[in-house]
Amino acid sequence: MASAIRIKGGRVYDPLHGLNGVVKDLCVEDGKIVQECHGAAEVIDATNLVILPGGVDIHTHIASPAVNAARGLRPEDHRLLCCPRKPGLRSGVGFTVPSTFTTGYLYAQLGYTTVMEAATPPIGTRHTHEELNDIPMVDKGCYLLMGNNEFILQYLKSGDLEKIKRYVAWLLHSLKGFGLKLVNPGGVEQWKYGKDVEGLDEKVNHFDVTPRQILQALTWVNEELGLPHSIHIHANRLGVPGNYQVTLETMRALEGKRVHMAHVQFHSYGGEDYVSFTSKAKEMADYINGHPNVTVDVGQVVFGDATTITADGPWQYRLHKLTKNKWYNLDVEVETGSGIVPYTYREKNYVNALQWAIGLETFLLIKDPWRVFLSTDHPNGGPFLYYPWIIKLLMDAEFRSQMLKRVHKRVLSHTMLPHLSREYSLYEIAIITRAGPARALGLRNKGHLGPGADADIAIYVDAKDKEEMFERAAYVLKDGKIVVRDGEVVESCPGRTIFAEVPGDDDLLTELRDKFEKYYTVEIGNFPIPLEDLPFHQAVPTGRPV
Amino acid sequence: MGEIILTFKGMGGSTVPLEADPITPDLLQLKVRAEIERLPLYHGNEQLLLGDFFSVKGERSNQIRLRGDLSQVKNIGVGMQTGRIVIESSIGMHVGARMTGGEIQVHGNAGDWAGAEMTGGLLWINGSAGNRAGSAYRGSKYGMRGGVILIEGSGGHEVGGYMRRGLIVVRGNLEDHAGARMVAGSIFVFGRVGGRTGGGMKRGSIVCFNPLDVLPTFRLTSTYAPLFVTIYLRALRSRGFSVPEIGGGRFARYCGDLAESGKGEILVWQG
Repeated sequence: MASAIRIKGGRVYDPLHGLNGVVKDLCVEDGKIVQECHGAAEVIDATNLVILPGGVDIHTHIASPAVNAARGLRPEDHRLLCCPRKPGLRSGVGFTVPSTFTTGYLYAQLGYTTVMEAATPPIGTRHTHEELNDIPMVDKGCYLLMGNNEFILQYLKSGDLEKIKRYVAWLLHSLKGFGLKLVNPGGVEQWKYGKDVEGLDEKVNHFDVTPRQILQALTWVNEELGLPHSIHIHANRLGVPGNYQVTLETMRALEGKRVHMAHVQFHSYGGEDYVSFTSKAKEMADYINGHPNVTVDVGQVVFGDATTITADGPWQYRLHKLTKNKWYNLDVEVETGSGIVPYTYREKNYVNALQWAIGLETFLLIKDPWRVFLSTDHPNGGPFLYYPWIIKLLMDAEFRSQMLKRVHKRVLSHTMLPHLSREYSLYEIAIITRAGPARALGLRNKGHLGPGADADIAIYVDAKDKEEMFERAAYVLKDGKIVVRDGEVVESCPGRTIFAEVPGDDDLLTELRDKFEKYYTVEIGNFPIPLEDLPFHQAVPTGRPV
Repeated sequence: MGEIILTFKGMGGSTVPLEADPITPDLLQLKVRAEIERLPLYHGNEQLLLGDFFSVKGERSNQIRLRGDLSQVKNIGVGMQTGRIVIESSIGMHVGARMTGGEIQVHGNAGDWAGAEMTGGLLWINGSAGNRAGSAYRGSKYGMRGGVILIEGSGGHEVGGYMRRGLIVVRGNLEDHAGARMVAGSIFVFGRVGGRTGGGMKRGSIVCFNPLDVLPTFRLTSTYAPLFVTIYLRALRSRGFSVPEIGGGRFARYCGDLAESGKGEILVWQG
C-alpha cells in the first residue's frame, strides 16, 4: 500500500542541499522523499518545528560478542535503565550497554536512524549480525576488524598485497561487512605476547611487519576495492599520554588517502604521564584542517558511568591496572583481541575533566564541520544518550563556561576552551550528526532530504535549551513511517542491515580451507553468513569512484 | 503528626512475593489516605493497588507502622531518605536496601539483601537477617557505603560483602564469607563466624568475639586493647543495643587479606 505523508511548514535543515532553516513542505512516498506527493497524503503540521534528516552515528558499539560480554560483565548496569514492555515493543535493560531492542528504541527517540557498529571480529560477526537483526528502528552495518589478522600479517610479510586484497574482499563478501576497521594495528598481535607497539615502525612479533605497513596496505586495499567508507582507524597508543605524535604520524603515513580517524579525543594527549597530561587538540586540529583527506569522529567524554569495550587488549589491561575495576580479556583466535573495563568519568578528576575539554576543543578547532562527527565512541566515552548534552555544549558557549567552572580547576589553565567562543549553529549540528557522517560513509540515501533519499526524518520542537530539544524528537519517520511521536516510540520497524557489495573470490578458497583447518576453531563452511540470515538488508555498491 | 498504620491483609494464599517499593516515608508523607491506597504495587507481573493488600490508617506522616505477616513482602523502605518505618513482624527481601537516611525497625526476621548498598540511616533488626545483608548487589563495586545495621539475631552468608563504609553489628552468628572483599567499614560479630571471614578484604575491621579459622592470607601482628572497640561498645549500649561485657578487652589482631592490599584487620577477642 502506498503511504504518503506531507510535512507542512517546518524549518528544514538539509546541509547537503544548502537548506539552512528554510520553511518548506516535505513529501514522502513509499519510504522515499519525493518532489511532490501524488494523491492523498497524511499531513504532519510542522509549523514552528525543526526538520532534520535522521541522525547517522558513524562509530558506536551496540552489537558484537564483546558488547554482549560487557552486558554479562556488568549486571549492575542493567539496574540503571529499565524499559518495561509496551504494546508492540519489547522490554530491555542497560544504561551503558543496553540490550538490543532497547538500543534501537533509545536511538530512535533521539532522532537517529542509521548507526554503525564500529568493530566486529570476523569470527564473531555471525553473532554481531544476529544482534543487529534484533536492533529495530535503525539501519545498521558493521566494520570488520582487520588490523591484527594473522593471515593478513602473513601475506604482508611475504609482500603479497594482491592476496590481502582478495582475502579482505572474501571476508567482506562472506561476512556482509560494511567497512574495514583497524584497531591498534600490530599492537593487539603484540599483546598476545604481553607487549604493545610503541610507534609505527616497531616490528610486530613473529611477522616482521610494522604498523605503518599494515596501515598503508589496508588503506590501499580499501581504495582498490572502492569501499563506500574510507578506512576506519583506531590508532595505536589510545589513551596513553603523549600519544598525539603517533596519531599525527599515522595520518602522515596515509597522506593523500581517504582516512577516518576514530575517537580522536582519545588520541590527542600530550605529556609524559597522567600528572603532566596535556591537550594536543590544537596540533591535531591544525593537521586535520590542512588535510581534507581526513575525517574524524570525536569520542567525546561525558561524565558518569561508561563501559570501555575495545579490541585494543593492551590498553584495556592498562586501564584495569589504573582503575582496579573488573576486567575482561579475550584472545580472538588468529584475528584480534578484546577487552572490557567499566569506567566512571568524574568531573573532579583532572585527567577525565581534561579529556572532556579535549573533545570539545576538537569539535571547536576543526573548521570544516563536514569532517568532524559527533560520537562518544559509545559506550567508551559514555552512552549515546548524552548526545543532546554534547550538542548543548557545542551550541551554547555560556553553558560550556559554566561546566568549565564545575570541573577540576587545574583544567582551566590547561585548555583553550575559555578562548573558544565558537558556537555551533543548528545547520552545523545537522552536518556533524547527519550529513557529514552519511557522506563519509558513502551512503547516498542518508543524511539529506532531497528527492530520492530514504525518508528517515527527525522533527524537533525548537527550544532554547538544546539538550531538551534533542532529547526527545517530536516525530521520527523511518522509511516514511511515523515511528516516534513526542519522544516515545509508537511503532517498531525492523531497519535494514547495510553492507558493502564486494564480489566474492572463490579462487582463494582452497588455500583458506587449509588455513582454517590448521588455525581456526570453525570449519570454513560455517564461516560465511548467507544473505538469508539477514532478513532485512541492503547492499551498497562498491567500485572506484568515477 | 500521627503515624500511618498499614495492616497487611494477605495475598489470598499466593506465594508470589509482593513488591512494595512505594512504601517509604518520603512518598507516603505527601499523600492522603485515598492516595496511599491507590499507589501501584507489583504482585508478580500484575500491577495492583496498595489498598488491595493493606488496610490504611492515618495519612501524611513520615512515621509508618506495618502489621501482619510480611515475610513475602519485598522492597520495603528501598532508597528511603527520611522518617521511620516500624515493622511489627518478619519482613521479606531487600528491606532498607539503598536507603540513605531515616530509620527502619524490624521486630522479627529480615530476608536476604537487608540494607544492601545502603548509604546512610539505621536498620535495626530484632530477629535474624538473611544472606548478603549490607552487601553489594551483583556486579556492583561497593556494598554498604554508610549507615548502621544492627542485627540482634544471626546473619546469613556474605554479610557485609564489598562493604565500603558504615557499621554492621551482629549479636548472633554469621555464616561463611562475612565481610568478603570489603573495602572499608566495620563489622562486629558477638557469636561465631563461618569460613573465609574477610576473604579478599582490602581495608576495614572485622571484630569477632569468638575464635575462628583465620584464612592463611592473614597474619597475626599483635595482641592489644583497641580503644575504638570500647568506644563502639559504649555507643551501642547507650543506644539501647545490649552487648556482652568483655572485661579486659584484649584482641589478637590479624592483618590482611595479604592477597590484596593487606590493610584490613580481623580482631579476635582474647578475653
